[in-house]
Amino acid sequence: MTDVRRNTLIITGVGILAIILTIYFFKESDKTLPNYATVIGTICSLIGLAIAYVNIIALKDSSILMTTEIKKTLQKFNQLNSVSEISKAIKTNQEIQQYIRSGKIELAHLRTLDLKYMLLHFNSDPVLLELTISETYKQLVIEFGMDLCSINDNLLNPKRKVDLFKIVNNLEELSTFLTQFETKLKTIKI
Amino acid sequence: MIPNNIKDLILALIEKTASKKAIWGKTSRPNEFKLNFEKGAVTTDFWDDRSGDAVDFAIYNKFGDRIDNFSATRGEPEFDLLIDLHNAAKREFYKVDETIFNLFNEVNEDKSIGKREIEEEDDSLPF
Repeated sequence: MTDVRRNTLIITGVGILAIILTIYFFKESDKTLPNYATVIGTICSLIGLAIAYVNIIALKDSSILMTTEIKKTLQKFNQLNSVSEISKAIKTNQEIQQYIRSGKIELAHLRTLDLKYMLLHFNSDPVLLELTISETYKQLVIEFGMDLCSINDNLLNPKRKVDLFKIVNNLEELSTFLTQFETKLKTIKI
Repeated sequence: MIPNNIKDLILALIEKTASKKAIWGKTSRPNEFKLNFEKGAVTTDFWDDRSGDAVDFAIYNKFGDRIDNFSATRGEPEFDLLIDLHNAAKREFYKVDETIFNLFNEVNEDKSIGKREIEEEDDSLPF
């Protein structure tokens, strides 16, 4: 039985008891039909008001509960969305490494631009605030930007050599960091 | 043409590096060195370009975007300033001064220095 139903029954019971007792203790001279009607009417009104009050309070509580649940669902959705964005970034990172290893630098450069966009997008995601404020992440992003410029310069001017091995190492470092954060984010209970 | 404020920055970096108060790192380019700041980084690179030796100085913001880049080839008026920074960064990264100081210390000691690389002949027969 819900609290509201129980309270309604109690109020109704108390009300009926009050009617019986009031009528029972009436003087003989007061025991007239209009007096009965007045007492029953007054107490029924009070019961009605009390039941309405109980219901309004219950409705308010359920509304607060519903808002909290909606907030939780929204947070969970945002969390899942962020996890999915990080997973996408890790996947893109692995693709870039694969392209570099197989010598497809133009393709690697294209995917590098995509990854840069994703990393920049992380800065505006409140769920990822903990990630984006970390010093390691900031340094990895700058390092990644430098690598992106190095690849670009190398494509435009092959005389400007680039150490692809070092770029893959940097990408691996970024991937590891993102994976660690992704795991952490997945385990957070909302 | 390098603006005056950037020239001042480069001179300040050379001074800071010379006084051993700047820690330079290596980037993914063979001769490029980087110096990280709280909200960005600077790099200096030296390479053999089509028109001869070239050197550059780049500034990156906190998102890793290259927001400014100045390069010069040998003979251009700004080459000397940029190469001074590059050399200072290189000396700091490879700890050139410290290495020379240690070499001096070792040379001035009484003990003999160097290591014989040829192994003493083994008299035992291989069969």
